Amino acid sequence: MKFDKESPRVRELLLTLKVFGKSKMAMISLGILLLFFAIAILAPWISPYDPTETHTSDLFMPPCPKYPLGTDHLGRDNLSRILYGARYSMFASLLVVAVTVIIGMPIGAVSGYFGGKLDEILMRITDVILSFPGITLALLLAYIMGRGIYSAALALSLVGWPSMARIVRGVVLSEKGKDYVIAARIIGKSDFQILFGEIMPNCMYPVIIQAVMMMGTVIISLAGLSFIGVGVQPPEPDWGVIIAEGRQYLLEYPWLSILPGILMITVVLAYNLVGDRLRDALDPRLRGELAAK
Amino acid sequence: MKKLDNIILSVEDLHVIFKTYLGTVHALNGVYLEVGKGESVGLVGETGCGKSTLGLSIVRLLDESAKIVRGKIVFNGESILEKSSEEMREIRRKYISLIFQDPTAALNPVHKIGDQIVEALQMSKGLKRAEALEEGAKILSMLGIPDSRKVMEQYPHELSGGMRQRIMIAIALSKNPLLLIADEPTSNLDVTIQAQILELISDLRKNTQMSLLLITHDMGIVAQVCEKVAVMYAGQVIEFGKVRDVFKNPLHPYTQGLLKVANLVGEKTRLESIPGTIPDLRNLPPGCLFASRCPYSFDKCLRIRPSNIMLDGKRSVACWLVEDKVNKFGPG
Repeated sequence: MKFDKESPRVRELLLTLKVFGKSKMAMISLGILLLFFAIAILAPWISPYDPTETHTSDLFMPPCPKYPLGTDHLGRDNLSRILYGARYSMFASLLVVAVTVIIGMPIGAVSGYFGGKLDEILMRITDVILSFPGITLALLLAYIMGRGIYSAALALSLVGWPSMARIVRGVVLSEKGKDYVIAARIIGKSDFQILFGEIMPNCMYPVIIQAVMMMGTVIISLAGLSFIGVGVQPPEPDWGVIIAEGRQYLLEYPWLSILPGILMITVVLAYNLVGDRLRDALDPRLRGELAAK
Repeated sequence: MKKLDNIILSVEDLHVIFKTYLGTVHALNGVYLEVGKGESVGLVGETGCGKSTLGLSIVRLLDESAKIVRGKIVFNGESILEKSSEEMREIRRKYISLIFQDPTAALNPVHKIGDQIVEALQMSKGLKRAEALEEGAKILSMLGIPDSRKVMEQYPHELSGGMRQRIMIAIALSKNPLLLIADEPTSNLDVTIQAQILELISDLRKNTQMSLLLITHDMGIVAQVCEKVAVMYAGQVIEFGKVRDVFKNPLHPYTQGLLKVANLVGEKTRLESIPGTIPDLRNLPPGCLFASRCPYSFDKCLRIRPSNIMLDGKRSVACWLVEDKVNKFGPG
């Protein structure tokens, strides 16, 4: 697709970016997220040690020149583990949200557009899933598929898509009554062409906002699953795993758990701040006001 | 009955209801209408009388809460209400076009003008993209749009209201329809643009021999553009005939009132209005729907609803006053 400055989508995007950029908080948050993604990608090159390598003579080392963040109860380098741990938090959450969008968007679109019985059935399914606690489903899946990041990610995707489907359904419902949809019918377009060619391009902003807002909760849930032992399995270095392992030594060596905890809070907060600002920047009424400020 | 092959559209005894949470709304209550080939018919009436509902019924694009209870719609010799949705799509794709009141809402904001016209041409004529671009540019310049190539590269929000309506007309005409339904095509435009658009529609109709059903609330527009007029009131066509005949000699008290309000001829004295309001469409009286506002209503009007009576094969009126006259003195 060529970049067309006159396209309303591109123009809106530029205005949105301008409004977004006016918030220092959001820009700092965005910077933090980019930094963590860079860390996640570069972990193998910037880590001083292998994250699972044990140094039996150096247990519970406090931060020192050899181990910048000290070592844990098996003498593993904390810095390396935390850097590698970013991979799980940053990428597994991205995967979960992507699956959520891929499943939830078409289901919500079809449900909202066709309505009737189909809508009824799909929405009752989402109701059932929404009333199902994610942790329980994850435990079940861990039991069936074996513990690991994949069953945890799958469980979160399965409980995550209904909220996306509901949002898309709502937007499609409000769009489908508009004249341009009737105009598309009158030139003889099929339902499929109308839904995906005409309506969906008008529904993208709420999807983007919801996806960004979801990232934070997914990171916490994934770490939570790792913490209780059904997500990432030790000795793999996930932040949730590191916190869980450090918990036993919390009084003597508090930095083991606290540092990954702080990092996680930082990332989640950054996602929420970016999401908040993005929502304001994409809101056509708020945007004008914010741009003028 | 006129010969069927001269008729492009006929609507008979059409009843449409809307199921709402406030009750069942009787939007159309036995509509009779006929549009001949190449003819232009104006459909007038006040807000909420069912004009747009009738327009959408013809192309079967009423929304889900609406239901066609009974009646018959025959388009080009085929019964519309018996068509499958696939056959209906075919009819819409090739033969009937619709223009809306608000061209801003009727154009998809995220697609370029050119793409929207090209798509319409591809749908109806199966042209290749390059051919459709060529053809689209031709149609736009025919509609008096300067620099049509440039316009096709623009997005709806970059154009003026009049320009957007021209684009809608271009899209509507791109399939060379047999019937064009224009639902208040100029209500959202200012007066000078309004005149241009109406002239455009008029000229095009004469040149292409398509039939036109022009929905409006403005008697002046009907006089300017149409050959025949159907006056609607509370979901019924209460008077139908040649514009000249109806305007010169309105038979139904409502038409008389409407013409007086419009004040097309003579000096303006003071703004007239028809007293009263339309009946509650959820709870219709058994008699004539206009009876409560009619200065001439009598006993029978309140008991029995009049249906359309043909006078001399050209005009029809739904009014007991006229029927009694017909009975006494014979038609005409």
